[in-house]
This record gives sequence, structure tokens and C-alpha cells, in this order.
Amino acid sequence: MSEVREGLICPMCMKDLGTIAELSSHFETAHPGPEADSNEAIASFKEIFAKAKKKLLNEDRAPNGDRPRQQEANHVQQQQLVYNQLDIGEQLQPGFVIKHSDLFRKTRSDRLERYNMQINKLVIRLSKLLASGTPIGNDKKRREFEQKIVEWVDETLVSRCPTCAENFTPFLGRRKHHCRLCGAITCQDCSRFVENALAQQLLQGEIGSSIPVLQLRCCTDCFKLLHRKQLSIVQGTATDHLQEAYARMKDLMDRCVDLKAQYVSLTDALMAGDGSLTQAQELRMAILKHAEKADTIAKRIGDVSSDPSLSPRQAQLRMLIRAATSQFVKDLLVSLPHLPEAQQLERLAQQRREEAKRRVDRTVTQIPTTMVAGGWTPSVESFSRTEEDEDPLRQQIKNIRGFLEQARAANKMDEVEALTENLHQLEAAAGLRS
Amino acid sequence: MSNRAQGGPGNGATAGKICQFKLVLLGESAVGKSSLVLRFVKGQFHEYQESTIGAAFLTQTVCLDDTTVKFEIWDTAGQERYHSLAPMYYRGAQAAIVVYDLTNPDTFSRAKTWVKELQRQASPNIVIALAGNKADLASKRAVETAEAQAYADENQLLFMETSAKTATNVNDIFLAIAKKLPKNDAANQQGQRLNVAQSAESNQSGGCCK
Repeated sequence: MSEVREGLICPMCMKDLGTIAELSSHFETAHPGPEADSNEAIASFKEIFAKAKKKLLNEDRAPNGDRPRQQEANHVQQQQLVYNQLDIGEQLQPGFVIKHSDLFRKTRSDRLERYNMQINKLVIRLSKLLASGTPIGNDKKRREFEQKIVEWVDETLVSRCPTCAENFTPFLGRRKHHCRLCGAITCQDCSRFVENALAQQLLQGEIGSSIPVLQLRCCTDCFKLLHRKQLSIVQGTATDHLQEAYARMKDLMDRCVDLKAQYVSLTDALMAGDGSLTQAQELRMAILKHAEKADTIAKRIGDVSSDPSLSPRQAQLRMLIRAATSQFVKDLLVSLPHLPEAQQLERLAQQRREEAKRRVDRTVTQIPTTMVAGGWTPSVESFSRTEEDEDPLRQQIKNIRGFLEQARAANKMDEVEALTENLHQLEAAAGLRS
Repeated sequence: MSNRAQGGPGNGATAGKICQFKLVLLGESAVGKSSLVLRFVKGQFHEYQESTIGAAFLTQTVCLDDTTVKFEIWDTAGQERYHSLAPMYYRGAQAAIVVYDLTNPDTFSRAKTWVKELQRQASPNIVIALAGNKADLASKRAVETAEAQAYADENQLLFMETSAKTATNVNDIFLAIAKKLPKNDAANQQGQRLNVAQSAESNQSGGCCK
């Protein structure tokens, strides 16, 4: 992937044209198709460009749901047709793959955290406001108690309802109210009451029994947050069967990966003469069983036809899950190393035994073999490295005589013996020649 | 230590024997014969080893199981003018190391002629080893290991690639020779068998197997 090009590039000659109009006219004139079919190709290209243009100009604002699915299918078909005709499959190179999952997760968790903090704050306040022993009946005392928990905004500072921006008209019934949860000012229309059932659910039955009917006013924002919390509680307790299936499938896949790692190390050990073949076979069976189960679940998830109420996006997602799982299973099966045959193992074991035997033999002979520190040699420096043109034989006789002296001086009897013998030979040779 | 204990007077007559062998080094000049033998005998290496005059003489003793092998090494000069001395040294030798420089193909062909000469003229039982020296200069290699190994196999030679500079395979090649040499009395007529007790005196300074 040497270069990434971007822009309005002609798919035939890779020339960068400045505008859409130029590109389409260039394509029409410079690359007229060889056959009549090309008209169709150009027509569909034109359609694509028109679409792109619309998008760019923000003309295509119609929500996706409105478009009949039939048309979309047609469109896809046409596109495929075009690609087939152009026959650019071989030149296609994979583009960059960028995973956005991490970014998505981070953004999502940031948002969730922010929400959760706010919601928790409200729930804590709610629980304080509804704790047993709160003053009831006495409005004044009750208000003092509420203000102790949540500081109320000074009402003189607020002239309009922050939610609907209407003026407050106390005499015509548009009075200022305080949200008991955040202390903000709100008008009557923009305030809600926290009901018994909601409070029960949120606090999970920790409300003081002394409160018969709740009259806890709060602003729309706080109410929305509380409602959100309620929703998540309801969803949290009612387990989604699809989610469950997905979690189970994911778990099976993870197990497959773990087992595969075990299996691979076991086969390696087998080849090295360790571990049992039956254990490896069992492990292999277990992996296959797990993979099969995961595949079955994926099949069920991917079976979109059973549920006609699914939106196209949901259906696509489910099919993608299915495809990813079957790809995973395929990869897993391909990457599983083959188990060696029992015969092969026997042969390997035999080889190893022989090798071990050889090694033992070698070490047995090697271990006691130790060098003797410091051999002996007479130094050459003690006598002159004389004239180069001297007779080699005579030179060597001189050498040996020097060696002999040193050997005698060092009390090296064996050496003296060897050198003397050599000296005799040399002298004999010299005598024969002269 | 164990060897000396074995060789003590109380032990069996076969234990602790000493064999002495005559070994000759042959090869083109400057292939590293003196360096090789100096590494083996003294553990030393000189970057600028002077060329040998005539033949140098060295001894080294190795312990092999319960046998002590004493090498009497004749390191011949590689220069052509000393060639006439070589037969005198290989004639009585039980072992020979023919050395070539693995960065120089000419020395390998010279080694081959030395081997041929030994096969013709030396004792028929002579143990010949082929040493491809300067293995540390593998980047400048000009003689392939496989080629030399094939030649060695063909001629039943011991073969190792050695480096006197890094001491690679130096002791190993001498030990391999020591192992291959016959050490029983019948087969070893030229090698002298000595009793440890007799030679203990001369060995004291050597300090065998301490």
C-alpha cells in the first residue's frame, strides 16, 4: 500500500478530475465502453455520481426508513453489475482498516458515566427526601427539611421558566415552583411529580412507610433522568434473550481460543515425546464441540427471516454476527494442527531414545575427557632466526639442538627422548647428503 | 583426579595407561598450523604469528577415560623450501592434521595433495584429520563445508572446521584424533605404553587432571 489517493479519481485511468461534472464527462468521453453494455454501466455510474452530488449538497435529507427496500436492492444489484463489467477485481487492493470500537466504547462510557453520576446524585437526594422520619403534614417544616437537603435557587433571580421560557404570572396561575431534586425554578407546566411507584422502583423499597402519597415536584430534566434510571432497572432485570445468546456464544468462542492454546502446546509436547495422545484427541473433540455449539447459536442469531419486525439495520447486524462467527469457526478449524498418528509417535519416540542413548554415550566418553593444563614447547626466540638462505636441514638441526637444550633444562625426559631421536635422523640425512 | 586415583598402585594393571603418539601438522604456509597447535598446547593465540622455521616441537597431554594420551606434536613449516623435511616428520607419525585456510581455495587443493602424499608415503595406519582453519572468517569463506566434508568422507579423514583465534573445535579435533588412535597394546606398536607409576615423576610438573 504505497499511496492512498483520494478525490474524484477516474476508476479507469486514475486521473484526478476536479469536479464531479468533469469526472463524469471525462469518463463518458475518454472511456466509452467497448460494447453496448457500457451504456448501462455509464448510466449506473451517473446514478451514483448524482447520488453523491445530492449528498454533498445536503439534498438527500430524506430519512433512510422512507426509502422502499425494493429500490435499495435494485441499486445494490446495479452496483454489482457495474463492478463485474469493469472487471477490476484483480487490481483491487484492500484499503486501510481502522477500528472504531475503542473510540466508540470510550465515548459511550464517558457519556454513561456522566449520566450515571447525575442520576446517582438524584437518587441519593430522593432517598434522603423520602427517608423515614421526614416531617409530613406540616408544610412549613416540610419545606425547611427539603431545603436542608437541596439548596433552592433564589426565586427573585429567575424571571422566566428555564424550560419553556415563559414569563411567570403569579396572579394568572403561572407560579414559580422549585424542583425538589435540583433546587431549580420551573413553571407548573414544566414540572412533574415523582410518583410512589417510580420512587419505589428507584429506591428499591427503601421508602419510609410513613409516606402515604408522594407529592414530590421536580423539573423535567430531573424527571427524565429518573425515568431513564427506571428504564435501565427494568431492562437490567429482564434479561434479553438475544443478548444472552450472544454472551453464551462469545463465551464458547473464548473457550475455544483457550482450549486451542492448550491443544497446540499439547501437540508440540507430543511431537517432543511428552503428553498423551488420547488427551490431545479429547481436547480436539472438546474444541470442535464448542465451536459447533457457537456456530449453532450464531445460526439462530443470524436467522433474520423468523422475525419480520426487525429493522434492516438490526437484520444486517445479526447477519454480520453470524458471518463473523462462522469465519471464526473456519479459521479455528484450519489453524488446528493435525494430530500425529500413533505410529508416527512411536517412530519419533524410537528416534529420541536412540538420540538419547547416543548423547549418553557421548557424554560418558566426554565427561572424563579433560585437558591437561599447559603443554610444553621450547621457545623459538632463544636461538637466532638465522640466515634465510641456509640449508633447511642444517637449520632444523640447529633448531632441534636448541630444543634439546631447553628440554633437558626443563627436565622433560620424554621430550628429550623424542628430540634426540629426531636429531639423529636429521644428522643421518645430512650425513647421507654430504 | 580420578585418573590419578585409578592409576594408583593398588589398581588393576590395565587402568591408568599412558599412550604417547607422534602427530604432525601439514599444510600450506599461513593457514594457521602453528596457531592451531599453540592454541591447543598453550591456549594462546598471536594475531601475528611468525612463520615457522623447519619444524616446531610441542607436547600436550590429554586424559581420555582411563587413558592418558600424550601428543608429541611436530608443527612443520609450510614454506615450500622446508618441504623436504616433512617426510622425516610424518614417516613415524601415528596421526596427522592437514590444515587449510577456508578463505583460500588454493590451500584446500594443497591440503588434498598433502593427504595424497600421506596416503602413499606415511604409515598405513596413520590417522589423518582435515582442519578447515580460520572458521571465524566465515564471511570470507571460499571453501564450502559440504565440499570439504564430502572430500573427508571419501578419504576417511576426520574433518572439522576450526578457529585458532576463537578456539573453536581446536581441542575437539585433537581429542577426536586421540579417540580414534588405537590404544590397546597389539594395535599400538609404535605408541609406547607406559605405566603411570613409572612416569609419575616426569608428569609432576604437568599436573595431570588436577
